[in-house]
Amino acid sequence: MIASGTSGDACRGDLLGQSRRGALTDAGRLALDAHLAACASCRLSRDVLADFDQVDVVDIRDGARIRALVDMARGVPPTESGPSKGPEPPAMVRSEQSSPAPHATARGRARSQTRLRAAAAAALLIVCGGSASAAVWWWRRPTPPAPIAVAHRTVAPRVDAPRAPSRPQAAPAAAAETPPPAVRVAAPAPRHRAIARNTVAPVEAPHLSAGALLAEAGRARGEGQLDRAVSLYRKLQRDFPGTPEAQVSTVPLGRLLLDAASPRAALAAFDAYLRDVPRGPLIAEALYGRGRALEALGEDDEERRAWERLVTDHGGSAYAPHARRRLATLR
Amino acid sequence: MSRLSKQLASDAEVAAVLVPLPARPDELLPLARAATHDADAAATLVGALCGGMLRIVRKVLGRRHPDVDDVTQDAVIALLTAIMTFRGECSVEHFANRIALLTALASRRRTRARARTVDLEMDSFDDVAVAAVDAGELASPLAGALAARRRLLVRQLLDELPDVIAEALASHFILGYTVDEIAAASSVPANTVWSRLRLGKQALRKKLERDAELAEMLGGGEA
Repeated sequence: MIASGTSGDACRGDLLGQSRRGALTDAGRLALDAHLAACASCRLSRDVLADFDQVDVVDIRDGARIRALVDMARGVPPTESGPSKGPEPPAMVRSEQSSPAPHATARGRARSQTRLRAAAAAALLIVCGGSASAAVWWWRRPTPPAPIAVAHRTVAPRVDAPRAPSRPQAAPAAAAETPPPAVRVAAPAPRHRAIARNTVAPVEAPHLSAGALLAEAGRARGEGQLDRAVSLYRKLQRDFPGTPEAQVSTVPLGRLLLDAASPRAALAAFDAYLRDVPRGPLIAEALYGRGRALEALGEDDEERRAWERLVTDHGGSAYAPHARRRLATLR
Repeated sequence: MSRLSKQLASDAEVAAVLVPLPARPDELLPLARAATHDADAAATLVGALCGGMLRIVRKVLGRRHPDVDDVTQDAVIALLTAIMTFRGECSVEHFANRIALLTALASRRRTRARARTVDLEMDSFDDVAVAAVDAGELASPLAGALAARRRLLVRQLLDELPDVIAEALASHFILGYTVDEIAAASSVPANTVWSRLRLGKQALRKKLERDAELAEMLGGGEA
């Protein structure tokens, strides 16, 4: 006998582990049988492992899911989260650990010098690039009368000197009224304050790719920063219209809007996905969201049609039971 | 002291029948290294790993949970970020699986916290027992129902336990890892993992014993 006939709390379960990998010899199998008869802990492990093995199944749509994830990975260049983020573990992993990513911190210390230099260079590039793009945007924007006066009055003295030489050539008429870009970042005009408020990371966001924006928005959503997630999804759709990332982002955006009690905006997001990606992988999700948005808006006929479509086209989806319940209620 | 002696003796006896698995190089390690600067390598790595990650997320959330796709995507993104800090203390596959597990556990806890505003019954998504019985894969409806009930209780327990114990327990029950594998993947001493597992199993045993529905099933069926 290998273990005593106790609850088996002292057992490390090595035999069971090797058995599951098919690595036991004949002697090992006999030993395992004898061990299981005496060890309650390993019996519990065996039973629960078998329970979870039952749900370890491959879904018929897994191929499409994997393809979508691979495409997403190709669109998320890891270098973008690059040097400055390198030593940190992912937020969702970090949040789960009491001792966050030990290898991450050690490695981070070892590379800190190089990374600091790289981060400084990246920050410089971001600031310069951000200023330049903000300047282009500012010069090309339609000039709103009232806000300009406020912005001009508050910030003009601080910025005239460094930016004056390059500004008038592009927009001579507006030069006298428009504050320079660096100031706009620090003190946005009233018309844009709502947008600026949503954009929590205005310095980094303008330079993220579509994939990175999608990832960042997902991360913000996961961390409960819902306003920021909405802002990032909207930025993704504004800056990268028509890309797969922008199309996919309409569904989680719709869900966030729905949760934020904005059913009409959510409905528009779901409808956009259904219209733009009629054979997309998130059709069932979009239909489910559309049904819930219509339910919130009290549009029974439209809601019924949404649930009927979901049941007809995606009867095997996870949302079908909810759709059937709603259809029964509506009838 | 006597328990320690017993454990040492037990370990020696187990070691006598165990055949050590040959150490093999981690075939995914070069790919993981390349994935830190090459998008194609990252895509290939994700292609190799995300199937397993998807299955782990499904095990934690439930087979038909509507958030499975979202959570898997979050896990893949976390993997691509974390791979830059990967030191090779465990295999790349174990590293990815652990990220999938932690992401899914975190998602469960968040959803639980928001349960008041969510109109979906989280635990109703795992209807595999019914499907398996229908398909003739399970010996009896009772066996399927027992398994489903135990899964439900394990998942509930994972929500209730302290993070580190829940992680150890989930790594053991859901990933099927041994103490040493969990220790390598989470970079903590094996004895610490063993201790956490012991506490987790004790809590699970109590939860199973106290569950009236499970007791009723067992009382009315086979032993």
